Amino acid sequence: MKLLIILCLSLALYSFASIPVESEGMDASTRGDGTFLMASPTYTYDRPSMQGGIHSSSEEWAPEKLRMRLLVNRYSVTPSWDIQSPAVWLAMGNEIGDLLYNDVLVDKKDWGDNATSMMDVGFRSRPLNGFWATARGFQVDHYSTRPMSARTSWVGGMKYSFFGENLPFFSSLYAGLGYTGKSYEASILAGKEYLWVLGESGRWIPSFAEPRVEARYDYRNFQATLEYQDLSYENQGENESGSRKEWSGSVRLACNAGCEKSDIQFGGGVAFRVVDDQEDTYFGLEDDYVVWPFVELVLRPTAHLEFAGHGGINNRDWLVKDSLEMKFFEFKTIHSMVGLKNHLGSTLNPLGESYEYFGDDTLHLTTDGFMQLHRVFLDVREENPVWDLGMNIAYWVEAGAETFDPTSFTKKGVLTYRTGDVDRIDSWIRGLSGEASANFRYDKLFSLGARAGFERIDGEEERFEVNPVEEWVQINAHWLINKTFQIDHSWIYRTDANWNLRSEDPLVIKGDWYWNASFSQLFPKYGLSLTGTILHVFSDDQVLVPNGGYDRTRFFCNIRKTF
Amino acid sequence: MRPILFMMILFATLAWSEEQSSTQDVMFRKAYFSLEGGEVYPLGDLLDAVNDTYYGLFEFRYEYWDNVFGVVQFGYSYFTPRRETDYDGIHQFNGRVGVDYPLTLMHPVSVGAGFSCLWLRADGNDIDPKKTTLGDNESDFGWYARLVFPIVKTENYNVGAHAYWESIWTQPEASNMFWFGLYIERKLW
Repeated sequence: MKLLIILCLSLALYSFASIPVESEGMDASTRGDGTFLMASPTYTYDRPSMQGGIHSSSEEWAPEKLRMRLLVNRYSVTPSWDIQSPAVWLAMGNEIGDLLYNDVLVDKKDWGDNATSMMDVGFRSRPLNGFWATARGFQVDHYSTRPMSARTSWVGGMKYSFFGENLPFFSSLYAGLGYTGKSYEASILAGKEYLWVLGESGRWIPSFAEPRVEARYDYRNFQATLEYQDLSYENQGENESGSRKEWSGSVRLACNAGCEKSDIQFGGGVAFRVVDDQEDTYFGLEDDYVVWPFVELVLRPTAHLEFAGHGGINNRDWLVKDSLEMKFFEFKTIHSMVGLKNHLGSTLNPLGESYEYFGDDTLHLTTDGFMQLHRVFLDVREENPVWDLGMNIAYWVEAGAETFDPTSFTKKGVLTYRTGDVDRIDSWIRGLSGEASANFRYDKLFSLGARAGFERIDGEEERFEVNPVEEWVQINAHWLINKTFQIDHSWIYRTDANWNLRSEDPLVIKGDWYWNASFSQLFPKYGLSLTGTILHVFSDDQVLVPNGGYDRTRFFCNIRKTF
Repeated sequence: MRPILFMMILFATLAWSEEQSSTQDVMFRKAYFSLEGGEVYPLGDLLDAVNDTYYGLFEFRYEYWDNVFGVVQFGYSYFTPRRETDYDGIHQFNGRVGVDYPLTLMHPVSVGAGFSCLWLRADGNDIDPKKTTLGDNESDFGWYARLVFPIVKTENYNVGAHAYWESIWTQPEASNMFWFGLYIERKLW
């Protein structure tokens, strides 16, 4: 037993599970199964290599994303206003590498960029007769220094957040009340928020929401959401300002835990946005509104066959996404499946912005025609209590893929801006991808997992917004010592990725190793945990997205007491 | 990274020590509060940056596993620069979270390790942020290892000494310091 523990510990020193991140939605920092490139906490190119197509996952609309944040035309979890479980928490961290005492020794000309911090403090009370209260203040200042000069010009200085002076990409503050009944929950949150989003032009565009209000209602499989934001925009460098009042929301009847076992499931709902723009808002929505009705369907005619899909249509757009999965060989611990996935639509995201305004130019963020993506895959897994092995191989083709057609580039300092319009690649793009995985578990004490994958993309068009990584490896290890001390760590390697359309010359994101580790003291009897996490050790401080910040090693610790 | 590997090895050591069948019952079975004072000695390049200084801190120590103690500290010290600067001194608040483990080989001395967090700010008014990075709050993290030397032990009070080696992940080089201080500890329960 002890020998086994020692062996496992030795193994895991060279390898890595679930590593916490600074804020919900920043998990691209710890994913290695594809191309995950972060410009800031509010912009990530996230494309799992088993997804197919050349777009990032956050560009796609899906019914389960209705409560995510819509930032321009991408879905983001960050900054999350999702209700936390009852607890009180405090987290703080910093990018590694301030001068501190070395300030005395180092000449100003040798100063590096300021390493920036993060903080998150909040609580959600226990319910009292079903009623509870919550409040939270959080921001992540990481990645903020490189584009700082352009950003200070927009907001006229460094005061554009609730805490500190680092110009974080988001700084959010809310408080609210809720009620949890037997089968339903209702909540309303109100607060303020500083937010920077990356436009298709490459500009970081700030807005201040005061107030931002979000109400949610959940009853079994039914959910309703209503949001209101009063946003103000400013560009002090150009003497511009504007405001947007936005109402958005959705209702959805989903098939979740309650009806998962039935042979046929229906769902659906409707989402909408309405904006009232005044003067310079930098983004525009066609006719100032969008309404998006959609349906969801799951069919299981036999135990081995499942069809699932969703689709929607309105006066401008349509999209359908479906999958057919068939289990064809089941033998004790071995499970095999073949599947076909189709994704067709006139847009990836029917709720996103339609226009970006850049001086006298208008960038059109939608285009004519439609995209079609088809993907077939074979998945084989052997699952045992102690170990499992898996393999997945897929082939996909896509025509009409969304891309950007740049017409001009302007360089300002370290940043490059572009004009142009969203366009389509009319030729077929073909991709072959595969991955293999192996996992080993020893009771709850230890687990070790390894995944590796590849992808080859071919076709007439060879330059996409992002040419994704071709190979990747991820190794995770997890220990739970004495059921009260948890160690997680991960090694990730990815090969080069290229950004082609955001500057005259492609920006090559060199392949790199990343090591992440997290240590937690757990006090389950008291609902208390104390965690220290270090991310992106050993990797170079690279810029992963044009106009983005430096991706640096960073450390944060948090204390959480659940009720 | 060396500190992380060091801590892994420490916890690996703990993992193959006697298994705990009732870890939950041991947790917080004993708890102590202490006050500590001592001196901080900069090492390496920092010898040219700041002078030795005094520190004060308080510590909460609690039984985590059988014979393994968790440690939480908060402290303050004030550094004076060894070169001409735009400020008189540097306020430093520090926090540490870690564990102590008594090694049989070194009885009654315990070894400990954990993470450190610092908040620094220059002392003075009207500090020009173009001349120093310490004009606003700066924070960074690092790690520490320590030895605990108990000198006097009574039922409710302990007196002893702590020696720390601490490394903070700063640029252009890590900032290393040696801390030595005396503590008086009161048993809380």
